[in-house]
Amino acid sequence: MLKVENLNVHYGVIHAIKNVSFDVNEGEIVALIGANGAGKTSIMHAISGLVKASGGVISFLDENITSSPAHKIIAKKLAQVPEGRRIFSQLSVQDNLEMGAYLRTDNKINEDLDKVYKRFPRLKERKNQLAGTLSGGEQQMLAMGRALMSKPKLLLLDEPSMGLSPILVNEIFSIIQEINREDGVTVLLVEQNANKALSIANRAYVLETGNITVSGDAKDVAENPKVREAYLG
Amino acid sequence: MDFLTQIINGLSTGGMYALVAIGYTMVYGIAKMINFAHGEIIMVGAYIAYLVTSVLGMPMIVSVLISIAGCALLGVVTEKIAYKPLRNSSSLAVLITAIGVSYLLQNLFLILFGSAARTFPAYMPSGSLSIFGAQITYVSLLSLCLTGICTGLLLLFINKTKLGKAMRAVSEDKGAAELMGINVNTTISMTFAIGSGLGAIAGIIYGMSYSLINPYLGAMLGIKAFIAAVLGGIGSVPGAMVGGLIIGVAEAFTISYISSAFSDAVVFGILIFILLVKPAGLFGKNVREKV
Repeated sequence: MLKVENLNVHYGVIHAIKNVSFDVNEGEIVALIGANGAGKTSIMHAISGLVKASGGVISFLDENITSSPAHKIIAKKLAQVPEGRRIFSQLSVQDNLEMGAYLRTDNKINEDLDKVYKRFPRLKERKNQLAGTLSGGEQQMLAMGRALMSKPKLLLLDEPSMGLSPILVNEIFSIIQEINREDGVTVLLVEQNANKALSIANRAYVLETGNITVSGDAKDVAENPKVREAYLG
Repeated sequence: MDFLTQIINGLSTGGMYALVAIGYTMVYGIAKMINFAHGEIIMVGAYIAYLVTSVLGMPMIVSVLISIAGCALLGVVTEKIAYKPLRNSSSLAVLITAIGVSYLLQNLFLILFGSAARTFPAYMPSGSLSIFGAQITYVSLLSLCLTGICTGLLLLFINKTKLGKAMRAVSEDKGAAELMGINVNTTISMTFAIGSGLGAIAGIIYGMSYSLINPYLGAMLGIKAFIAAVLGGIGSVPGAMVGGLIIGVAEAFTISYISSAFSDAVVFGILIFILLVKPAGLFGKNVREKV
């Protein structure tokens, strides 16, 4: 479904991503784990078109999207929940969700809005509140709901557990599994919380300073001694 | 009721400042730059109306529409040519460019029309109306109505329509807005078009109020409206409206109760005061990030 081949990303002279290749098949949850600064977010941004790849090819549903601008990529049903959530704090909760459906012209938007509210009842209670007044966990739910409003086939999740309490982390991860299982949304998950990510993923890649060093079934990656030592304590 | 007359005069001039201030504040909100050429756009708007009516003999409504369209186009083209290439440059480079565009337009119109003032067409009868003892000229009344209608429509657009909400989303986080599928370049162009279109209306109000126009008219008007935008909190549309009205009333009071020589000093005094006391402005927001 998503195929990344020999991806390179440069920031000026810094070579952040070095010849990274991986793929995501339809229906999977794939985890991309690695330490802070390994380049996980750069890969996500390159896929979504927020940063330009300096080399390599990204294709989604057999279409080359390497040089597509970000606002065209979501139209192809590839959505991202960015790191730090980046909800629109000055817009109401409901307006945030409507922004997720910005490009949609079909008449099922309200139906999907109800679905999001059903999945995240807390958002419904607060639908007229400014998004900036929500708690961190609620903001994460809003960011996910907003991305779901675009009806994605592939959802990129960048650090969904960041800054959340362990109970909320569990809640968010079970919702990710639900979205994957019930709505048939394929998920590419970037996480520092490797334990959690590997527990719900089908496959995983480990990223170290811009290179993929380990890859395979999530179970095998979790048992890999090198990975255990570095990321799973 | 001289007091009431002064308030209404002030509100009417203030409405004109507000229309210009909205242009500054919207562009700042979206493009994070102060468009110091905005005052000159207003001057161009006044000249377009003058040309369409006095030279081509068209009625007011035609000249207003052509002036709005012309200014909107000028705003969009200016952004594309002068500011867009500098989007990732330092804000100082953008500021200097904006000042350059301002002088370019001013001098272009000096060459085209000379420095002598032109008589603006008299769109409104010159009389005045007496309401509760206050003398209100028809021009003031029209200015107040136009300001009210324009700002009302603008607020509706920004708060209720999908495009307006998308504009606010871009103003808050361009990257996240792009992830929603919002075309940031189009949004920036739209902002310049709306701001400049409102500027055209302000230019026409200026022409009607003072009946003479010259290529320098945008300079002082632009700076005062900029002060209004800072006073209201730059980036906030309601702030720009309130700021404009306050500046207008303060000016009218100074002219009538102290001396017209002091009016500019009072306006700039307000700028210094607000920068010392509340630099974010009346409606300025301090957004805190939650983790």
